[in-house]
Amino acid sequence: MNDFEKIKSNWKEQSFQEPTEGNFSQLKDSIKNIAKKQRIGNLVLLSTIGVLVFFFFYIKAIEHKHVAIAIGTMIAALFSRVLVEIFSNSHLRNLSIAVDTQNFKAKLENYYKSRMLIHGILTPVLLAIYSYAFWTLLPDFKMSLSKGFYNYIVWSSLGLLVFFCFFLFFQIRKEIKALKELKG
Amino acid sequence: MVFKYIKIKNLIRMTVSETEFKQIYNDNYTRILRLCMGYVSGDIDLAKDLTQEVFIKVWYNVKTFRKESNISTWIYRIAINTCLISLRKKRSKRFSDTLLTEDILEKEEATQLKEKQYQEMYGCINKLSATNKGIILMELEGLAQKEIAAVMGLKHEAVRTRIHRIKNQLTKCVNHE
Repeated sequence: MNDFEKIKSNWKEQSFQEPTEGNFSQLKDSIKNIAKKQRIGNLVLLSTIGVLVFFFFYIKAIEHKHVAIAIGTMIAALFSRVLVEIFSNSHLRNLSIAVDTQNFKAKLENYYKSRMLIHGILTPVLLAIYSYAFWTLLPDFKMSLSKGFYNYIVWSSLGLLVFFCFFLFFQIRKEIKALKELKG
Repeated sequence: MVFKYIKIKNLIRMTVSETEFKQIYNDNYTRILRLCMGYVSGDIDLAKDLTQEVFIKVWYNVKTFRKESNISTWIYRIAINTCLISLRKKRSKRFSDTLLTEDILEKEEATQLKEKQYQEMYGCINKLSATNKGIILMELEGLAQKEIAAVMGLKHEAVRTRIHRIKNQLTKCVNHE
């Protein structure tokens, strides 16, 4: 037996638990849950839109042109990003998984490249638009809110911005690593 | 195993009942789990999750299977493609991490030696590219080179050359050469 044959025989000797009735039931539950999760996801998104629209009218944003534009811009930036994410995820889910690996790899590489564009260009642009719109609202906040609450809003937003930049950095690093491994 | 075929828009498509799907699952579970282990450096929890994902995709895609190849070959195709998607999910936890527990220290020497060999084997497989990983994992499972070529979408000759190269690479790595 040569060295590789030894590796091969070791490979097949690995003992794994045979599939049980429980494993199969779990699988069936997961299949059922997928449709349920999709419905819940859609519901959450619709509720978020509803809450934002309600908030928009509740604070009578429409009566103050500047506030309306700023909040409208923030909502638009947020939703553009959410829509891109939904589209990107559905694109990945709909890749034909049963094609040969070379073919699939090419499609997956395109997907990772599109993710890099999303994380590297689109998200920072939308984040900048969102932050600018938020920044233009600060004088209004300063006038209408207490000093403590105003400071809280400013510092927590800065904290969130820093956190989000780190998050983006790690996401881009993850996509680059996956792309490298795929091409290797 | 009896498969039912229905004609939809001039395409022969397959549908399977739950019993038939269960049979497919039982027949292929262990080898798909082993293959996934190779892609996730021996992380058993991640490999189990991936295996589950593979069979969910098998269930949703079985209607597109046209019996041009063996169903196991078709499932390998889905498994490798699913593992490629999972590259982003890969955790830093390695097979070696799961071995360095007190339980292992208490195990018999022979078992320890075997597990050390597996640990080294997973480490060496992990050094291969995503495509080469898939090729050698199927070779280790004993798939014919023609089938491996069909799964990977490569020419038979190209697969033969690659297998020869990867075998040498893997053997050298395992032997610390």
